[in-house]
Amino acid sequence: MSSSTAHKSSSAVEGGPSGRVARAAPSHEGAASDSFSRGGSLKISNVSFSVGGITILDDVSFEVKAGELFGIIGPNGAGKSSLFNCISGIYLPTEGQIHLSDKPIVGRRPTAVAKLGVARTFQNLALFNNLNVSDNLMLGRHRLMRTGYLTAALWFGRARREEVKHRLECAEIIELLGLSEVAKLPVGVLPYGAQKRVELGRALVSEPNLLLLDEPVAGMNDDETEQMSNLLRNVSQQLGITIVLVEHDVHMVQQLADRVCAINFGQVVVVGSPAEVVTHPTVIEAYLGADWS
Amino acid sequence: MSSSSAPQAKGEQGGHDAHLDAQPSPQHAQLKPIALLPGLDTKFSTLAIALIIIFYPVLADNDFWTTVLVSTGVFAAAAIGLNLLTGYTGQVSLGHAAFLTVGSYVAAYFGATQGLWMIVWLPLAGVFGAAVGAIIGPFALRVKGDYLVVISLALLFFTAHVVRNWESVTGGNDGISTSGADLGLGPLNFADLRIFGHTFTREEGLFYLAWIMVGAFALIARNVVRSRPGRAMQAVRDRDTAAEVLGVSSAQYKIAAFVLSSAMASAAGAVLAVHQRFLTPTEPLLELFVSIQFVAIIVVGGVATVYGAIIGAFLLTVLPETIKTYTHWFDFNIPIWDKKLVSSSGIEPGLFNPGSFSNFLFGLLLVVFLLLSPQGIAGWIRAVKGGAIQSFWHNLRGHLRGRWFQRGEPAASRSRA
Repeated sequence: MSSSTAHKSSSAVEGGPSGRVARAAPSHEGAASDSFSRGGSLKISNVSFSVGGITILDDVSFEVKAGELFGIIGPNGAGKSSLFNCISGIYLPTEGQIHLSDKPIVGRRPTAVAKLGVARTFQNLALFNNLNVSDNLMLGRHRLMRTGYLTAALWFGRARREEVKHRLECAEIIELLGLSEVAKLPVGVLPYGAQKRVELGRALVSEPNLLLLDEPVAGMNDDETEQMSNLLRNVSQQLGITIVLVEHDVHMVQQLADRVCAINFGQVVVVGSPAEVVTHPTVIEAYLGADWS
Repeated sequence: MSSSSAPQAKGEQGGHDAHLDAQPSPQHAQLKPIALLPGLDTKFSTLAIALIIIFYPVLADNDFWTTVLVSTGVFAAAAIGLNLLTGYTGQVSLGHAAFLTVGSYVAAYFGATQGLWMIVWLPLAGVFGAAVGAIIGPFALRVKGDYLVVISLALLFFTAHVVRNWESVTGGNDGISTSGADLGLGPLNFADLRIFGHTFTREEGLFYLAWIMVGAFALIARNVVRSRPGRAMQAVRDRDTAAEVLGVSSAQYKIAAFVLSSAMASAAGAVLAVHQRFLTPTEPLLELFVSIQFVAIIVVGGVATVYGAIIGAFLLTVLPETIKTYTHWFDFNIPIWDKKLVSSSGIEPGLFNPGSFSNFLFGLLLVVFLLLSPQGIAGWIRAVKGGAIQSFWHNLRGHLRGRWFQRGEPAASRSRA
């Protein structure tokens, strides 16, 4: 796509990606792939977070390499979603620092973190229910667009040009996610599985360096889980986006992730390859259960 | 995940995919930006209404209804602004009348007292309104919902106080005349309009001025809501945390919504001031009732639609006048506790007089809409477009044939929510 090259340069100007190009696809490949080909690295250093005397995260440290697909597992209440909230600027860690491609992000507001190229999905869907699928995805591209009130009010010129261009980009992702049929429907009326895909699409169209996925297959059946896994694998391999994945489906994480981190009571239990993690005695005891195979 | 996604993803791996290369294909509606007037029916009805407005003063030589329709235009223009704030950004404000007041006194001071041209005082009213909106807007960052309503209410009382006491500008309790304000715009003078040999009265000129403003504001509002800032406003309304995570600054868009909405209200207030010819602090504009009326306009017309504000303004300005004018025709000779329901003359005993009866109907209308039709008249229009009428006949026909519902899905269930 010729229009995509403009984005690549514009996101570089914004100072987003400085991580290495990981497993980037050749530029002539699939329609959406050349628009974002860099992943950022993520470094969590001694992050603690407590609310009202309760420690949610306790000295969490790990590193995610650029382009890696990194899984986080752990029982409910272990602090996985809180960690995501710390990364995306919704929570302010009590201690510690987080770096995205060597840029400190603790203390930045969510909007500023988003501008660095961090996109995320939420455990309990956070879609704009009154807006249709197209517009939800267009909001994902908000940070890549420039139209303000004045240009919007005039419409002809930049506002119209931008609308046309970015709707085209969104349409590709809509097509990729199999949402074309429902693109004009308000997302509030869509079934749960489709809403999950819309949220993923909204994160994808923002051309992220780092994608935080909070339980992307929760509540999905085996078929849907399989398809989502394939999609995530493609996103990771073709586009080279760094993905951090929180998920309870350990089998899926095992198949998908390059490395896995297990968290319990806000503390990192172990970081390693999927095989190492699921055989770790503390992980089995605290999370998987003795009869897990 | 539908079956189509997996093979496409594989296609990407293969390096070429005819299906994806074929993009964009014109049949995909989501590729196009949202149209200014989506659909042929919308285009035609807008054109029809525009023609009615253009030719109304020529064809109907009725000064009374022209006067009413000037207020309709002013209220519609201001309600478009409120709908941007309340309908699209979710910030409920009861201080909208205060912004109109600001504009009114800008018109009085700069237009009548200082004698500036209209091309100066009318935009100036918008600028002053925007400035006041920019002062009030940041409050919306600290408080939400009911609390914001109370703060916006305080603005109303504060404005009333300023108007009473800043005598050098507002004339204090004695009021100030606005009839001297210039109404010229290039070769046109709205106070004495002559087009193609037809001479219009001052009221008719103001009718055009007010409705040109409605058209301009509707165009601006529609363009804003169908592009980036409008989407951001709606995102802030629906889920501000999710909006922030996408890079949409909720603070920025809340304040901007206040600025835009109060600028529109203020410009509308300026035209209203000229229309009224005289401003006093006791005028009803600063009563709480008028601010509630603005909320009622967008609720009855349809929240988060541009045309809803115009429909609502039409209903809520024309309806009371209709009731007042035609009460004596119907006489409402329904005895309640040995009284008539409405006494038109005021001599015979009655539960209401025409004025209070129109207020009563107004309150009733608001409650009925809030309870039964929260999407307002825009909701009806959407239902009709979604096939509610077809499905009604469809079901009726089925009923007459002895079946309550046809086997097929009724069209209404396919309508957009």
